[in-house]
Amino acid sequence: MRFFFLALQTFLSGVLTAQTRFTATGTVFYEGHAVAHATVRASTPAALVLSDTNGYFRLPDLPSGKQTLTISAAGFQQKDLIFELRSDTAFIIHLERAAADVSEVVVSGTLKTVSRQDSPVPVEVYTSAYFRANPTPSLFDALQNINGVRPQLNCNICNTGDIHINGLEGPYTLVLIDGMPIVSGLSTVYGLSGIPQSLIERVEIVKGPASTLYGSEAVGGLVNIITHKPGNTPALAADVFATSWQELNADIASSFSAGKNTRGMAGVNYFNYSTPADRNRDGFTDVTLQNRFSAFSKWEVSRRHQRLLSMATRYVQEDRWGGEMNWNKTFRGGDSIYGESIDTRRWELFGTYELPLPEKILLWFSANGHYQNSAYGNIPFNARQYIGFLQLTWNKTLHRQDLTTGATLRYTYYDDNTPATTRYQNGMERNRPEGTWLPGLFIQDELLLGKRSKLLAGLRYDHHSIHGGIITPRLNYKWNSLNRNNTLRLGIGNGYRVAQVFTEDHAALTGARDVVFKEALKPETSWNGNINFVKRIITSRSRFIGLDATAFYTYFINKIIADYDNNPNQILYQNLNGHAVSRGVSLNIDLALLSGLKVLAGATYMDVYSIEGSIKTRQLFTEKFTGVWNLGYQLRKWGCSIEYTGNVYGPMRLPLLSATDPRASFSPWWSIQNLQLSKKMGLGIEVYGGVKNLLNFTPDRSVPFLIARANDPFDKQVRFDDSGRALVTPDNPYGLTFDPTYVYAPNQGIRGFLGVRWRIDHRTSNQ
Amino acid sequence: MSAQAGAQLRVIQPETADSLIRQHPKPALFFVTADWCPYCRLMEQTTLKDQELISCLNQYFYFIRADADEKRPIRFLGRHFSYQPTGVGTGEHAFIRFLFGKRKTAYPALILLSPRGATLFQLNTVTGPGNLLRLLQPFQKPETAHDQGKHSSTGPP
Repeated sequence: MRFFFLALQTFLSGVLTAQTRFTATGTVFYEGHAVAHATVRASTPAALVLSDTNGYFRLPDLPSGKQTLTISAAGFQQKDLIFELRSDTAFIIHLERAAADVSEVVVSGTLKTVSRQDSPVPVEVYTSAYFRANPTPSLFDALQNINGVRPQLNCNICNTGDIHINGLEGPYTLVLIDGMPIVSGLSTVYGLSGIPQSLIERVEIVKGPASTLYGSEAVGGLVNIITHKPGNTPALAADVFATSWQELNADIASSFSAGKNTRGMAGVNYFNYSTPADRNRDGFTDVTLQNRFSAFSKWEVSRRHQRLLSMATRYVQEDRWGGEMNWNKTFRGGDSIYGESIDTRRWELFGTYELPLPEKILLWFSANGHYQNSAYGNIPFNARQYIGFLQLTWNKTLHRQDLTTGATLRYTYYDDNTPATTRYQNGMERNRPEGTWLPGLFIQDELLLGKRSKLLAGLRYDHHSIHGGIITPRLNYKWNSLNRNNTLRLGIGNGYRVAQVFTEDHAALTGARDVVFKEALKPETSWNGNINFVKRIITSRSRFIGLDATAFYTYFINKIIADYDNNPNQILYQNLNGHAVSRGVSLNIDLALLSGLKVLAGATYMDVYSIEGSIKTRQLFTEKFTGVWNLGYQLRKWGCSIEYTGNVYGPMRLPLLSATDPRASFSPWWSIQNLQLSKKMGLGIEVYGGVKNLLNFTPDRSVPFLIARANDPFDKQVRFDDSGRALVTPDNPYGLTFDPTYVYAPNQGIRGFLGVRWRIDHRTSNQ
Repeated sequence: MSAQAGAQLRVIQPETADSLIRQHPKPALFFVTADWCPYCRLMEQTTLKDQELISCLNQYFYFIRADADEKRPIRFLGRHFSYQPTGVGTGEHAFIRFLFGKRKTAYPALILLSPRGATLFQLNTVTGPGNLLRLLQPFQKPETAHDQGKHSSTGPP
């Protein structure tokens, strides 16, 4: 038991005079943090005061002579100070914990911070505390709580999905880990799972065109997952939660040293949901059953001259199925009982290495392999894709400029068992996997125009083996006020995308429709511009209000439209003759009130449509309005916090199969709201629990059925006319075929969840 | 221009702190901020504008502003600290790690070091000038008071 007290004498007048009453003041600390409401008792005369929120206390009018001060606080060992009081004295008191070491509660810290000040590109930063307010099995689901970002489920039965940023679909968004890109069209579908939350420090999101470093895939935006720095990662952390739907999610993370110069962190995630539910009684599972395992690791090597060497690996293995309630693996690929079964295996390896040269030259590498073995009803689909990526960048910092030039090379190999990779040779159908090379060059310059403004200009050239040369320029400008409370950003850029039907639109693969290509698909080209204004207001009563407003506009030509409306048995892929537009405005408000209430709210209004000739068609599955909120309140007295999160969505246009389809062509307004209570129990344990989907909203509420012809999934009883359209028959009163594409929201009603987090920190100092 | 004659807080850059402390030892108060942290800005524009606090800091302490994203190498009390990248565009400076010691990094942070580098206290809350003055009071040693008003001051950016 160590006693540690430091008494300092402050001298005021009175030392030489015959004063007999003095004041004892002081501050009470625990490991450098002030201890509020500690009881400080004087012995003579008996007096008691409490330390304030800064740990400060004051005991006036004490007689000179022997005095004992007793300091006690809940959770700490009592401290007694016996001394001779001869003058006004100030104390610094350090307390020690009564129980074994408990992880610290960091008092400050926002859930979401407004933006990175220095960046000419608007970056929104979300700390991991933001995601803990509504725990989800993976970051993919967690992104639903961010304004302007929406995980979109593309299929009622198999629940595959991607991330939509401001109306732009998944493949337009690039996922990075610590700035290292995962180069793959599927990165938002699978790239966001498997990293345990205890390893994530924050997520940075860029909406709109960013730097030229990332190529065409970053036209819609970037999601950069930043992991914790050394000192903030746990030695071991576990997080397990379960829901009343019998879903189980477990994360285990660890960080360690491997040798003198290498630091590693690793995590595994396991998710299981295997109790089929059919609450809407259509004979089909409401939510896809899943069994997923993923493992993630990241390595950082300390080298001479602090050169970077960082690498990460990930492996994801997932089996999922959905379909008729009585389906099991024996019916896979058959046509008696309908089921969609998708088995996925995926590995990734990526990293960055700084060359040991006097100039700052970085080598970036990324490789991944993706295997899918699936059956949609009686149609098998097997595919594999390999992507290799290498990039060399040279960065030079001059007086007012930061210049980066680079060369990249990407190779994509894709093979599946569909007509997309089949060619006729010598009158015979032969499998011909697709291999494309994409070399590119780029240059980017960041100029400091003055104390308050910065310009980022970039140009990129890619050469596609099928489509030839493509040039994509970018320009971003930032201006901030002198006190840096106001920042204006303007950005404009050009991007392109070579559509790969499989990876992007899963609906192409459901047994419901045939894929037809109207003509050889040209790459999509888009021009996008955005204006972003960030304002920080600090009120006279020391309250903080953050405002973040953005207006965005994207203009597409050669947009690839998947036509669901033309023929119910086909999905028609074609380049749009006209153009498509995605435009909107978005506002985020961030409030911190002294009472301990933190409010984050955001809303986006957008209009996404295509124009062909003079006909304007609104895009399917895209809402005009979304709102999101996250309210957190700390109940300090009970040591727990309460979080209320939610989203609200406006109506979306939905695909109807025929003129006689009885379902609504627009979805209703809907909202998912969640409530959580969490409490730190000490010894590094935190318990949390609550209710998800408080309003019990499910999409089947306002429609007679979600899945068309659920009673005849193989269309065995459907009769067709000469043009391939389904006929209205007594057995088929609406003239429909089997179709599960009418999905706009998760089909999971109200449920409870309970979880526990346990964390052991490293003991040794890093100094 | 304000009509009041307000003194400006003398903010020292981390790389000059070392030589100043050697020449004239005083406790050093480090204000550690991150550019994406709005509470840091709150502290800067309210608490750190208080005149009484400013004159106390200018006289008895060195007020040093350390940025979480600092990339330049820093020499402090005979040790060299450099920025260690953990990814592209992200990393941690060893000096920031030194300031926080075993504790987790959190912003804003006010860390008071003795002239020999021992941590006297670390504060992670947003606090008012009165409270900060009270916290600093025991560490004000009149014999080390040094009015730095003659040098050109660099106010908070």
